[in-house]
Amino acid sequence: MSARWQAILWGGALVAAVAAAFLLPNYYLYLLGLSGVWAIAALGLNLLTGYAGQISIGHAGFVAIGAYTAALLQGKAGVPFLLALPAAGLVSAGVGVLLGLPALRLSGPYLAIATLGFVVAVEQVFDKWSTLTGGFQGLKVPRPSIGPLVLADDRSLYLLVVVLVGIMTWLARNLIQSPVGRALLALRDSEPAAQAAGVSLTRFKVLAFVLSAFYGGIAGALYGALVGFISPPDFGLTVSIFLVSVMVVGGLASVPGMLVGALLLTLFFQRLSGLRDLRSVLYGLGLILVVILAPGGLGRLPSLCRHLATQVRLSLIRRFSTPCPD
Amino acid sequence: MDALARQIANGLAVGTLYGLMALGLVLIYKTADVVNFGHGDMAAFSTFLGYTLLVLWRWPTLPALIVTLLLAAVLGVLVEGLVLRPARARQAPVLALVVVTLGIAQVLNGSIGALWGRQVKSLPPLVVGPPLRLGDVIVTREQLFNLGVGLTLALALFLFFRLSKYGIALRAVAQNPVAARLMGIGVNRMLAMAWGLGAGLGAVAGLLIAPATFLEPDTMNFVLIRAFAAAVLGGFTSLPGAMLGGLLLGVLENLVAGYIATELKAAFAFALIVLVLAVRPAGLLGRVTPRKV
Amino acid sequence: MLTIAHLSLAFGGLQALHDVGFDVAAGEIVGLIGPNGAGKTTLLNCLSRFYEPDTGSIHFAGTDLRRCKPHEVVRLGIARTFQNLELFAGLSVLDNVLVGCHVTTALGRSRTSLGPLLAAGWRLPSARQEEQALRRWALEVLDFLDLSHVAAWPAVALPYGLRKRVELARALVVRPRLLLLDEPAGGLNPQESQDLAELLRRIRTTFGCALLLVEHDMVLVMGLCERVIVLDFGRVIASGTPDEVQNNPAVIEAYLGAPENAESR
Repeated sequence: MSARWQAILWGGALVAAVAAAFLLPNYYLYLLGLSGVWAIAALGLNLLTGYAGQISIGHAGFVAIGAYTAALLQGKAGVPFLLALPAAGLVSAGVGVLLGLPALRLSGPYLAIATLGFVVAVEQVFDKWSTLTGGFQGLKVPRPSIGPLVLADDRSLYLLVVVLVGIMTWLARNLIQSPVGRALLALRDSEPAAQAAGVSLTRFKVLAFVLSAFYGGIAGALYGALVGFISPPDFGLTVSIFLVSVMVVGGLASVPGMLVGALLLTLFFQRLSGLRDLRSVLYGLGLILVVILAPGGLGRLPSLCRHLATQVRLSLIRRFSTPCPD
Repeated sequence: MDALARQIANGLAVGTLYGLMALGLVLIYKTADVVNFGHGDMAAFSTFLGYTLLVLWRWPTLPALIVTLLLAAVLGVLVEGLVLRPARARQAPVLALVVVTLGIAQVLNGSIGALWGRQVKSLPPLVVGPPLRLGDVIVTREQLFNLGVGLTLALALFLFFRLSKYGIALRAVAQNPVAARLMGIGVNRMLAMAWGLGAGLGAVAGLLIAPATFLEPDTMNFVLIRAFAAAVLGGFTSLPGAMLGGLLLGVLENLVAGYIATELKAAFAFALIVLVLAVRPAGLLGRVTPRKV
Repeated sequence: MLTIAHLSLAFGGLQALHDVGFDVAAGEIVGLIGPNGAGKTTLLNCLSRFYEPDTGSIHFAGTDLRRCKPHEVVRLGIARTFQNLELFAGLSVLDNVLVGCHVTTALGRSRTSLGPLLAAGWRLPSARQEEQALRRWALEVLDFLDLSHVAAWPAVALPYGLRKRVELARALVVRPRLLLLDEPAGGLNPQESQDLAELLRRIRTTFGCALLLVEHDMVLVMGLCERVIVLDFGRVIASGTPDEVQNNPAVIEAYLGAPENAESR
């Protein structure tokens, strides 16, 4: 796709997202806002897993850290939202360094296990540290205000999410198309060749953790603002797995895929919230089928269809053309 | 002194169960090169099958246990054949395999909820009787039984892997599936066997754990995190290491809870995973093979 | 320029390198030959710092290479290719070459990465200008290697010979002072290998770099190299001009074996 068509598509998506704010009922605006929050978190996870090749099933831990940082800064210290939001990202990024350093020595399944432990531990810490976090009871998050403007209704909260999704998507795209993104992809595809080209494994693996944690932190702060209430299970292992699913369904190393994946899966979970067990079964089956049948995710589906069509055409040609003598 | 001995005894008893779960994980990882994140839910599903036979249908203990273990093995073989074999045929990368096992976990967890409901159930212990005194320490018969079962299975598995021709074939498959196939080893059959055995071990762990805690769909997922820690501690490729890791984790966890803070118990497994992986990625008994350029 | 002295490395009981020493002068073309398992690739991996030698020293233009980390080697002006092709499979040919420029970018030079990170994220003019200049240079190098027509292709989609040339482009793009080539002619037919010799000469004159190549293709080595070093069982058994080496009895024995004392090995 040419750069011009891409720009037109992105512009169209933005216009549609803003128009939705004035056309859709509040409940759907809330769902779309939630999709946006998870899309930001998935964009970050994608930088770590899709681009840098580091598997993490602990990403919800970063979302939790961002959510609690923003909630406590606003609620207990009276920090305005516009400062609490980047602060949430930065605190989370700081924890990203702490997790990234031991993760340097790990790869593949070992890293998955370590990050799994991380999200479980984070949930436990917020649960037990109840003097600060309210523990299992949860924490009420103040409505975000920008200057004198308090964003209290669904529409303005949704527009806040749209703006942030726009900014974070733009940042991610810029980073990916810069030397940063190439260095991350290089260490995913071949560590020896990346090192021989001067890419420091230590620096860029930690950087991948930091970037993805920053995105997670921003998503967490936004989640609190949107929902108005946070508690430890909101960011448990299930959410981590949800984010991995968004990434796999949307397509690894695809930016628009994260937006589409987050939208699809959020709608799926919210609309079917009445049928908990059946939903789990469908969800699991869906994941397995996507991995086996469409390994590039739904974002790659058009090219997969083209490929299949070519195969069918070739086999037809082979069948009906006269066999050539050997 | 008494308290310390009791903590250690409790730790060993629960550690055996972590070790049993870890054994299944390691067995599957060693042969199939897959970390099975669905191990907890597979074990839980089998335990619920056992619950149906023992409690709902009131079967006598021994036949019920045998049938449960057989069904667990069938479950393992089905998971391998229906899900992992197609993924393998497409040469799915590590992340895809992780996601596939997470998908299995979701399907089984949902199935348990749909079939048996989410209310908490209780499973009677397999052995009953008054507790025993060993010197100054009082242990329950259940704890001794668990320890016995765990150590026996770990030893049996270790010997099977080392000595029997199936064990050697399994090791060959693990090291080089292509070469193993060329040598006439049925790789698919061997992998099915590994998954069957691994699922069976999970079922044993589930049947022993459920009476001590309670039985609900998420019971085994709490154990799974510890099993991961135990397996990592033992090196993830070593069967004796997995059992040893389980025992060590059980004891350490009880000491932390007893002497430092109960709250730290759950985060402890994670801290241990990170610490072990950071200091000695190969664990206590594992080995790493560096990649050749 | 490159000075290796008394280099030894053992893997368990296997002595992969034993007291290896030689040097490479600026602009020189040196061939490193020897039977399979002689330790040639191991030596390159010591230079790239993937392996840590047990003893010995490696100096490059006055710097002690043993103090460097693997990613710092290229900063000194040493680039390399790999025997079993280590291309970045998910990247286009152009992007592969652009990764090769990493150390020349603001990101690669920065101590903390923070400034270039922000510049890239917000697409500041400095980042855009740098990217344009990089692309121009990378395309020039691709053009030099006759690869500009496949610049937008995924690197893995290319035939083997072209993939090898992409690796060459990725190494050349930093204007190295020393280029390490691990079996550049492996898998090429005699005609292609002759073209390669021509190309390597052209690279030397255009980029002014020294070449150290590990190679099995004797025609290529003897025709191209100014000096040849022969390794056998981890030791340097001969070195000199191609003529000297070809007539050295120890070399002939290493390649053909000496029937009368075959058992003494």
